[in-house]
Amino acid sequence: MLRDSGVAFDQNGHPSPRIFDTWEWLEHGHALQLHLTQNIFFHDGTPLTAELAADIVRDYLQDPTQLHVSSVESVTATDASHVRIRTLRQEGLLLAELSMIDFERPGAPSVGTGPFKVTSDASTLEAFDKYYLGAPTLKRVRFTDYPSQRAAWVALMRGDIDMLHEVSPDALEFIQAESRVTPAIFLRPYTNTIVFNLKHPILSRREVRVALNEAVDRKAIVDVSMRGLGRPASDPIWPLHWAYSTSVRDIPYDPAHAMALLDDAGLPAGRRRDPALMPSRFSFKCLVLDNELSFNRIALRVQRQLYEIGVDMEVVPLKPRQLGQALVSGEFDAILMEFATARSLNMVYALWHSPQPGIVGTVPNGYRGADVALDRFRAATEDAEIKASVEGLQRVFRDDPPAIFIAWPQRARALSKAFVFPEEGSADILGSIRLWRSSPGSTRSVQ
Amino acid sequence: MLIVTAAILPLVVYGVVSVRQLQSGTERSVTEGNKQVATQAAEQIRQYIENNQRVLRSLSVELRDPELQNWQRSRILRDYVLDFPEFREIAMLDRGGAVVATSRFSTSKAAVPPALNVTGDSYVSRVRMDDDFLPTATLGVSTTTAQGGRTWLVGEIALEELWRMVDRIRVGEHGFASLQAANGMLVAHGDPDKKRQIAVATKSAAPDAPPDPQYSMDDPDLLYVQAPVTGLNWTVGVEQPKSEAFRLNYELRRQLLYVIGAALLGTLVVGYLWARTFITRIFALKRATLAIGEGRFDERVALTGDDELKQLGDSFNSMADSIVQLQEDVRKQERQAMFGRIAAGLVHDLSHPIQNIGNSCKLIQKMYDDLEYRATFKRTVEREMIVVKRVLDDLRNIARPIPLERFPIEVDRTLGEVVESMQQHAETAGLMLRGEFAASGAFIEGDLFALGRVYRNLIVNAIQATAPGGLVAVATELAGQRVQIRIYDTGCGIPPDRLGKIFEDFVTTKRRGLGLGLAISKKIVEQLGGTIAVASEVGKGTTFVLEFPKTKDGAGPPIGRAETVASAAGAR
Repeated sequence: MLRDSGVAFDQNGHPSPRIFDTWEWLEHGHALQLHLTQNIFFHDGTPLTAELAADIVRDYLQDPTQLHVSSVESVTATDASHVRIRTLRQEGLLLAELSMIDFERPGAPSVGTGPFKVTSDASTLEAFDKYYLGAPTLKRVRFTDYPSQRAAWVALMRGDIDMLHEVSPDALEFIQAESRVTPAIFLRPYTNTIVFNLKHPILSRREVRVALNEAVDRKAIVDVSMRGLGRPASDPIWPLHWAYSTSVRDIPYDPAHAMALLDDAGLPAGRRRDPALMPSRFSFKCLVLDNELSFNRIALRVQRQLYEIGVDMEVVPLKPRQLGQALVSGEFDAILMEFATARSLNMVYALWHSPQPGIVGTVPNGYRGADVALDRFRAATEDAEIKASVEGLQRVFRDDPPAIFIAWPQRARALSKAFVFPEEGSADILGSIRLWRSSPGSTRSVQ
Repeated sequence: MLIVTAAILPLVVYGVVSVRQLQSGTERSVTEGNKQVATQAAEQIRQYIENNQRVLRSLSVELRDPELQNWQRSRILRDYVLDFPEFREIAMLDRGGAVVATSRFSTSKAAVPPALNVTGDSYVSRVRMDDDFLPTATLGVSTTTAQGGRTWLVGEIALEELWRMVDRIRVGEHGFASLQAANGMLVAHGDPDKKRQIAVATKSAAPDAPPDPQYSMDDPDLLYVQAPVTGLNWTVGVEQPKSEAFRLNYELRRQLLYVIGAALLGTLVVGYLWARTFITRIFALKRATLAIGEGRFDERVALTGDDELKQLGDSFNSMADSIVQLQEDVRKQERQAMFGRIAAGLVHDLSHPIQNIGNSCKLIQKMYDDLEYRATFKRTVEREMIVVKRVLDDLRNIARPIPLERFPIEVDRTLGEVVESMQQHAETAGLMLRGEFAASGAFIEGDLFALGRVYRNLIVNAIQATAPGGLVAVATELAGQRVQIRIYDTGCGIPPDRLGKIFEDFVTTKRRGLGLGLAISKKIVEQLGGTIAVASEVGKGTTFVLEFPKTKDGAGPPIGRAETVASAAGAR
């Protein structure tokens, strides 16, 4: 809302104009020429020039703390309307990385180019009249935090707020029945994933991880624990991406085969290792967000399903900061959380490649199984190359899964019918917030 | 109108009574039906709670094994929470209230209510608010360990599951159920738009504090019934818009009103049409009767039908035909009588002068050489011809205005002269003829000759009607701007049945004559702007009253000129 990105990606992974409205690959894929959209201003009225745009792109792509992988040689403004990025090698993810860049005025982080700008009240944004795609219809947006999804839902029921950022699966059916509220459901490019730390002596074994994957009934989890709001996942590749291959089979739910795999791996059932622990083939701790009902339910069901094949998954609830620290430090056996994928798939590379110098964001779980496929995917700039590399990735994640990719969650947002939003298929309605307007007879701003 | 009222009124009364009874009966029936639904819903909720308590009891059996480790207990509890989504959490507490195991991954907040009756083996807590300000309650069952110790299994109700259960309770399309706790807190409501009242009611209260029960059912457009949930002190309400609940009632009432309305309308239309044919014929008869009474004897009625009215109409037409015939006969007779009288009058008035003229003509043949007789013959013929001419003039004048001249005439003087000229006639009849003149100097405009004829005619008639020894008088007086002349006698009088026709043509009380004298007199008087009236009493006498407007006193031509007019009138 505050900032625009260099480009955007639609539900199917196709790039669409934002700060840059056209682009082309040059120099055999070693340069990306970008055309700057005209009449873009920062919130303080400063026009966005090609030089400024080049600076912002350069700062991001050369910042070691930012999530990017491309090896950038230079970023220059070739004229008043063009920016050229040169890379050391073919970098097929470069365009996707532009979608990660939030264009804000250098030295003024809160001065962006988006449809809304900050005000003196930190929780309130107001419309930016000089937004290059047209001034927003809404004049003001105020944000309120609640301790839980449920508490926020109650606030929506009371009418304290106009929009619920995320509707819990339990509340969705009630919101759908309400006449004052419009729910908007869309598939998110995140996976509910139990990522394994391959430093664990047993989880490092491919066959164990395959067995655990086959022991999980993803459909039951989606249907019951997620109340049908999602679709099963077998890998972290965005299933709506244009290059996604449906010829690669999904991971089957086959507890019998899972048990056989574990038996063959020398992990028999019923071992009593510790009187304080349940008898199991092996046990591991799975960290999960405390007090989040949806993750708790998923964890509970996975725990039972794994228990049925004789694996003890002990669930350890942690606060968000603790969870984040554990992930970054690698101090975990498994973590259940949402992992971003991005419709452009660049996050797949960043998260699942083994650590590389200068590249941040990698899940420090010691996984290397997808490196080759990921590098191939990184270098692909032509459609055929991309499609082949994506299919290759899918197969790798099936054959050597670093995690249990459980499901792609559907998220529901709920908006008071005092406002109307444009119908844009299955996309997130927040993407079109600048086009929202009050219903006839209503003069409210969104809270 | 009476008949119509008598026919319609019972129908209307019946209709009103029927509608009212239908309405109250249907409303009672619908209310009872909804109450049944509320009672069944209350029973469903009671069983829902009881089933959940049974789940806890069966769980307690599983947990009774003293060899169970805490992790095992936790796993069992989690399995139950997975299998029974009615619970958000199930925890096991020891006799001291400490949590031994829980289905939560994090710290459990389960607790046994302090005010519990320790002899009871299960409970349902009072409804309170959870951390998200939504209502919740816990169920608890106690279990005895193998060592005889007491533990509790406490399950927190999953509100959303309870809501789903309440949502399934429906009446019609817009009827919903609600659930209120003992402290009045609204716990669940099947109407999606009223769930917000659950959140609203709990907003201002602190957690664990009883909120203000803000939900009240006092909407006059809703039919609300309630039933208690046995053993829980909760109340299940069922509310349904009256427009839907009583729709059948309204529909039936509407249909009944239509039927009654249609019947009424039909009755009115039929009654009106029938009455119209009946009354129309009566009015036709009435009109025809009035027309006959007004003399329009050609009026007839044409009544249709085959009833007594038709017969009456036919009889009326026959009667009218008879009246016309009778009238024709009477006219014929009158015409004949009149012609007879005219003929007789003409014979009477003309025979004498014609006889005289005839006799004189015979004599002149013989005495032609007699100069004196020739003069006498001339006078006789001229005189008799005047009489003949007068009779013929009278006949002619009765049909057209009489040519009159207008000059100022002194009334008293003129009448005095007439009275004087007729004294001889009166003496011969043995009567007194007297003048009583009190209009001295008064003039009227008139034709001297014509008026003289009128005066003489009236005086002659009076003399002829009065027996010898009677009186005939001519009196004048002034009456404002009019001069009144009265000619009265003490004669035999005129019968009342003839009095009204006395001024008509060819009407006479005498045995002979044309009967035009008074008719011509009246015509002369009226042409001169005067009036003539008569009053009479049989055996006492008759009075003729003439009135003329006074002309300017003294105005008028000199006497010589008046005599010239009289001579001219006489020559005429």
